[in-house]
Amino acid sequence: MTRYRLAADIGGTFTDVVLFDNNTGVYRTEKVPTTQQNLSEGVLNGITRMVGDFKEVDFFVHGTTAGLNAFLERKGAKMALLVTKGFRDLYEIGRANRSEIYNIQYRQPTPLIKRRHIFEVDERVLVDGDVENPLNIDDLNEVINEISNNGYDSVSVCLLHSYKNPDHEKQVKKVIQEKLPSISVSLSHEMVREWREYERTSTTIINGYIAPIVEKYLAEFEEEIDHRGLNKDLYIMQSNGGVMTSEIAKVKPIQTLLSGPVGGTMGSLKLGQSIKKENLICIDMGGTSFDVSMVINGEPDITSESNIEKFPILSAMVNMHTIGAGGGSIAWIEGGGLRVGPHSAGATPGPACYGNGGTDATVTDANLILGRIDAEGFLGGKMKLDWQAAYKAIEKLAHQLGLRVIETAEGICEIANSKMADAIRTLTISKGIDPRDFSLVAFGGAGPMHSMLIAENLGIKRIIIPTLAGTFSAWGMLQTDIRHDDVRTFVSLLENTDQTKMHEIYQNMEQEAEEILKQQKIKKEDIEFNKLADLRYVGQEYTVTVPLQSSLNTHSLIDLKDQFHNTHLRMYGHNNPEGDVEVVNLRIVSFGILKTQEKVFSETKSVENPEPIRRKNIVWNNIEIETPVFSTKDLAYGQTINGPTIIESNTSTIVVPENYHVHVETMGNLEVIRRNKND
Amino acid sequence: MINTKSATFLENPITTEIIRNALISAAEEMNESLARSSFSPIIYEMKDCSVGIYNENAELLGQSSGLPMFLGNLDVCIIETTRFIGGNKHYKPGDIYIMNDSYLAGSHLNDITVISPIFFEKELVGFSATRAHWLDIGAKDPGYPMDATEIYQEGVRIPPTKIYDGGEPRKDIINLITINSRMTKDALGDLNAQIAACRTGEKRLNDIINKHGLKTFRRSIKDIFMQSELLDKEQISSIPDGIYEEVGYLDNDGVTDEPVLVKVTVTIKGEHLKIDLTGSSEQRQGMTNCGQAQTVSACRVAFKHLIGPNSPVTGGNFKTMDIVVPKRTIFSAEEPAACGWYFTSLGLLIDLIIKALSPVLKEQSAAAHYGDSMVITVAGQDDKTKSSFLYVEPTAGGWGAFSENDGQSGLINNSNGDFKNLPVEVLEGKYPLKVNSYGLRKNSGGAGKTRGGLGVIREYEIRSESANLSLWFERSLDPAWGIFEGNTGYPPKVTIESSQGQEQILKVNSKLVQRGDFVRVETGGGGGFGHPFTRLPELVLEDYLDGYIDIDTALVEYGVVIDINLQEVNQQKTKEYRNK
Repeated sequence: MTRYRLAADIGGTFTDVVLFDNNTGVYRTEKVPTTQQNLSEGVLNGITRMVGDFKEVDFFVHGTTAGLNAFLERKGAKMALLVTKGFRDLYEIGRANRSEIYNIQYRQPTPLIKRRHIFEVDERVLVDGDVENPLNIDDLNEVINEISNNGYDSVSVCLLHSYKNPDHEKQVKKVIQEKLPSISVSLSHEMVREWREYERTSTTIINGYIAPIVEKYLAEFEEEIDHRGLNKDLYIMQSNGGVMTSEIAKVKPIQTLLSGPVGGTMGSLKLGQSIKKENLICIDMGGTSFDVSMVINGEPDITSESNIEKFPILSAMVNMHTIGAGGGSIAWIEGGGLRVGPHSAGATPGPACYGNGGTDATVTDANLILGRIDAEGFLGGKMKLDWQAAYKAIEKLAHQLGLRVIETAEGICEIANSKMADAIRTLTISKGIDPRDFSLVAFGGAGPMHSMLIAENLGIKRIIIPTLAGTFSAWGMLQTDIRHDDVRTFVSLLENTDQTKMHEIYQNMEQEAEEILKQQKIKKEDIEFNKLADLRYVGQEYTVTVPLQSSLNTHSLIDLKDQFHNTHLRMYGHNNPEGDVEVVNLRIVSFGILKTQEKVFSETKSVENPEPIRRKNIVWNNIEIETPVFSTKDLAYGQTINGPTIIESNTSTIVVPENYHVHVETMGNLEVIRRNKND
Repeated sequence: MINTKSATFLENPITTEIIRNALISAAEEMNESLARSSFSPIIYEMKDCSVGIYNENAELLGQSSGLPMFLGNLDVCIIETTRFIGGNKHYKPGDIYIMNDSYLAGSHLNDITVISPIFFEKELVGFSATRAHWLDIGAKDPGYPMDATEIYQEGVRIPPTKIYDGGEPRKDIINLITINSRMTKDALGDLNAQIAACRTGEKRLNDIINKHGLKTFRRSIKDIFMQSELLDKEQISSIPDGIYEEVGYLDNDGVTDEPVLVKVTVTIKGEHLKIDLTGSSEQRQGMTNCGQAQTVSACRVAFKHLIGPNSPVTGGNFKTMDIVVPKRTIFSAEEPAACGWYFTSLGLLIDLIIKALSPVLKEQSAAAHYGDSMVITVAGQDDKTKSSFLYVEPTAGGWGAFSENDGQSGLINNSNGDFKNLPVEVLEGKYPLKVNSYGLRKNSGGAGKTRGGLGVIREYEIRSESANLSLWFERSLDPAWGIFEGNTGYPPKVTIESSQGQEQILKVNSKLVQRGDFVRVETGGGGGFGHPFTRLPELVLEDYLDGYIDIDTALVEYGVVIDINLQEVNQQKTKEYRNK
């Protein structure tokens, strides 16, 4: 085994690199500025700082934003779309819903493909898979002529009911490839074998749209690292919480959309295992963003349907809720009252204290004025902050409100904290979860700064701060396995379902998954399958996903039904055990188990408590108090620190108010517990 | 006069803002709780519901609404209930009341309102209220009829009625109500979901008061109301004083042929805004009537559409807004008027208020949209499963253009909020219907500097032995108008094709159709904004290339000459044509 395991996560402002050294058993991290023009440059800079010889890297996993950026900036492929005759506008109309109900100037997002690039194919398959109108080859040839004249990068094909009978889609591909061998063709049933034509089309189009960009990025990146001597497989973090090899990522780039933030959820899950906590609310707060995800009963909370800028995606993804608050949230005045957010100063100009010309007061500015972050020591001293600019911005608001500057600054933080807590509570309520039964895991540059105060608002007593809070997503990427998700729509009453057919479908998906895992060099004995089914009561629209516990038989189907009733009760507050249950989709999640490094932890408790690196004045409840500041470098297993205090690492700042104990755990992570009043 | 630039009226700006946010979030939690535990897709999927938390004076603290139309009609229900029982002193902890009377609550009988008083340390501090659409409330036809002429045909009518007394359910009363529904079990499930939502509101309000203390809480509420009032006044003052009038028509009321008249007079004077509906039709025999509470709500929606669509509403809003409605009109229905299709006239009312104010709110306004829910209903028996089916779906259409952009094509109408249409693949799996096409209707958007959105065309094929077709398509006499010299969008059109031939019809109740018959529904486009000759010729070319308009429309309506072979604008000829 060679020496290093490496993870790199590209964020909006910073690129994080985490390295595990097998020789020393120690993790090291680097935070380097993200190089927007050429993303791989930043990553390589970061690695070079830590690794002398690229050959010594044994395992490398990468969270890439190349696909996401191409989508957000609308710099994707030039594509054509082929649909069933009569349905040219299914993509533009979508589901016709208007999500901003008071907006008479509402516009749907601009489609990724213009109408002139959408072509109809004369064919029709019915809901049961029967062909009503066979594919008209002459008509198709005419369409292909037009495609050939227009010079597209790729073609997507989405025909009605192809999830049930994909023959026509396959035929279309065959004919196109014969005539235009150089053009790439993606079929909707290959992307996702699930009904609902608009959602399937949108998924296929997004994948095709970002494919050439992700492919080019990965190819160039691989060439760069190969050139420097790293010729092992490159793994890519997926939105579903697993990894895949870059070869698979080039075919299914849609799975890279949440490549970065998901690392944090998986890292939290791993931390939770080490302290035997299975229910976690994970908050990732950076300079401009605030993402919330959950781990429920030891499993990441995954959704099979999500959306990006209102475009639906049918693909397994960690349920990542982005909340309009973060260090960049702007404080402003409306109707005489103080508001914080939802507008953000973003990365540019950023908070006033970044010194890039921002004049609006933000949450980060407030933290600086309160002394909770340090003008010199922000991000381990890598970034100097402009205290004067922050003061001026907040002073402006303070005058209008008739408050002192520090009162205003603390008020901005309090409002932001309670808003974040409110948003998390609403999220948990919609899932039938009580946040008080959960622990909070806080990471990202600004997460640990606010986490105790958010937890207090939610009635959460236990907060976990990872040692590597500032680069935690990258750390999490080192803790995962290869994952592959698949689905088939199979609508049938559970009572008299065709078990043979169902078995066949599962087996079919297993075989396909095995093939894909084999391509990623996973041996058969290292593969695990989880079978799941989407069920609902007859007449309902929504489904509930439940796992199939053992192999398929009459007994396990009864078990499946019971689980459905129970889950329905937990999620929706009621169920109907006498009601008819219907299967809608069959799912399979396949894991290719990767060996991870040995756990690194100290067994000996430190007897002595650490010394603060300095003391400074910090505002707590409108009063400046001389507060000890510790460094994570000096902390050891077994130590306890009492709030109020500040703990600094080179990637984040942990703000611990009065009434909180900080315990240093075996792996160096911090467990923060709120004291009861009578303790 | 308080100056908004220096916020001296706020006693504690920080706590006030924390409470303000907490109340908004508490209402959202109520809504999540309702959606999560309701039985009917119309609530959890279509979000045909609304929730709010109020203080002891029935003034709004926080609200969350699924449909835009529900903006301030729950307060009226609290006031009516309080009046009915003889004052606040008669409420006890654990009491819950229910009502649906259209003449009090405003909308149709299917909308059930549930309210519960909230106590903090034995003192009445507020109310939770929820409204949700029940699928069946015992009308003469399942769901709701399209041809009722009296409220007695529309279902069970409930005045303010106590269903929980001090925490104890009054089972006989609950039975009496739910047994009247064809879907008793769902009705009971939805009622329990509404009660659960009320409890969520009660719990959250108690948490908030507990955290900050009742005295601070009440002071902050006062300041929050003041902020809303100030914002309203600022915004109304920014509109030039004047009297702004508009008139529009519905095709008919579904029973008689006579068009239904809607007349709006908006008066702006300083910080005051008055909406006078005098001159609108007297209440009609058909179902296009609504109670006054819902009319008030619709006027507020129109105001919201034009001004501050994103800021949350509180009890401090609308204080300088007066709404005048003469008695016994379509907007102030009384016994025995039928109110089932109450939103059709309100959709037009909202469009007209926007039109009336558009000359002075050019940037905020938009041309008219296609106008109504355009509902198609097919009911019958599925030959394969031998079970009965009921397919009901509103149809999307074109929205009005506005100063910055073209109107949206294929979007659901203004009273249906975030409603999602059923995917064709799911529809065909669930009902004996086949969809032969679903697309945009070429040329249907009103021409203008910015173009109205396109309506849609959807063709259904009947695949059961026989079925009953019902239709409610509107706004053919007065389709989506343009503003600032923009053109009108296409009106709706429905064609039924059978072995008997072709027939065009817009409204019908239970018409017999047979296997192989086609029903082609076409919805209208939105109105245009600004003179079409001022549209950039390049944009007209783009529309032509995308097939939104044809070559003739480009020339006749927009005055743009396109060279078909070169696929570009002939600038010279275009200039000549436009200058003619």
